Amino acid sequence: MSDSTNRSDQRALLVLRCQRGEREAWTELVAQWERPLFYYLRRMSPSREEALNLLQDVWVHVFSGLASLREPERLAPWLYVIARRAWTRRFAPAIQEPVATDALLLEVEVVESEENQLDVEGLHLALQQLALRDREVLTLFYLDDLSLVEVAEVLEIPLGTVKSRLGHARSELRARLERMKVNHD
Amino acid sequence: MTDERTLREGLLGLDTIKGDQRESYDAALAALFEHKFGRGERALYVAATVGGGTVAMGLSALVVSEPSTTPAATRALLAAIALMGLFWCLLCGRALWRGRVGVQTDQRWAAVGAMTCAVLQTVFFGWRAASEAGTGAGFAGLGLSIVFVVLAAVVLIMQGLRELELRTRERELSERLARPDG
Repeated sequence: MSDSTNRSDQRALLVLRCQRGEREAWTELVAQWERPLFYYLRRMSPSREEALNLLQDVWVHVFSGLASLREPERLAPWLYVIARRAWTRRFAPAIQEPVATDALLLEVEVVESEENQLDVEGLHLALQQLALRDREVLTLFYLDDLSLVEVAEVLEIPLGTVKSRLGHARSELRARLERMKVNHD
Repeated sequence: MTDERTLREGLLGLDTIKGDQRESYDAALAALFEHKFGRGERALYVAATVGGGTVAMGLSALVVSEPSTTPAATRALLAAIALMGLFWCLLCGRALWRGRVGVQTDQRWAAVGAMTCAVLQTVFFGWRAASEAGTGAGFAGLGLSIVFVVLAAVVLIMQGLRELELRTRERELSERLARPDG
């Protein structure tokens, strides 16, 4: 059995235990998902307070809605969808990002790359400097909780657009990292 | 995969909830976990507890004080309704004491209680319909009771199936994860 299947089964098992009303399972669920959800929301929000408020909002929705999650193995995309919707309700009306041009939406093949070997702190800093849309797709990608299909679902865009957005975001990230390296040297 | 997981853990470690924020977040989460009754919910459960208790005590007193000429069936009916009142009083009182509803257990007990009430009602009206043939009142009550039994049965069956489904899936997943290749 692959690592990802194993991980998905463990997550599904946790959901089932929560749905059966096991309190320890709820504690585990929060412990397991608090950090990635906070990291994602923090990358999207202007302050830690805002990110924390959103995270609490997410848990309110999770507590009331988990019983109706019919496919427990889909916990990860379900959680990120809730987080993204919480963020959208709070911030989307205030944000006016430039609309994507065709050039940005070109298909770019996503491949395993040297970024896996990156210095984590450098990546963390460089992520902050990216445009919101690039930051979001890369955060979801590096948090490694979702497949690309699931990322597309969370962002409510086609898979092709995810790939192109990811390709563009990674080249932006590389440029930032190189600049940081030059400055550092 | 290992590199990706290390990268993920590294990133997550760089932005965590700390200090005062951790305290207030944990407190908010604990309140959410507990989901204590609000004022409206508390009032509803107080009313149900008092109502059930009143029915139980009132009808028990009637059963005891009724003259000996009262038919046994009437006594039995009063006693059954008193028991039902006691049941709802205890169920709602327990939730009130805890300050919250234990979703799984309380829902199951509520469904069982509703089913028992409906069955008792059906038995009573069935008996009335049989003993007062021709008046129609017993039959009307019997028809209505059967509708309640069906509704209560549907709720009970759905709950049972959901419970069974969750248990089965949980067992399957546990077994799969316990396999050496899992």
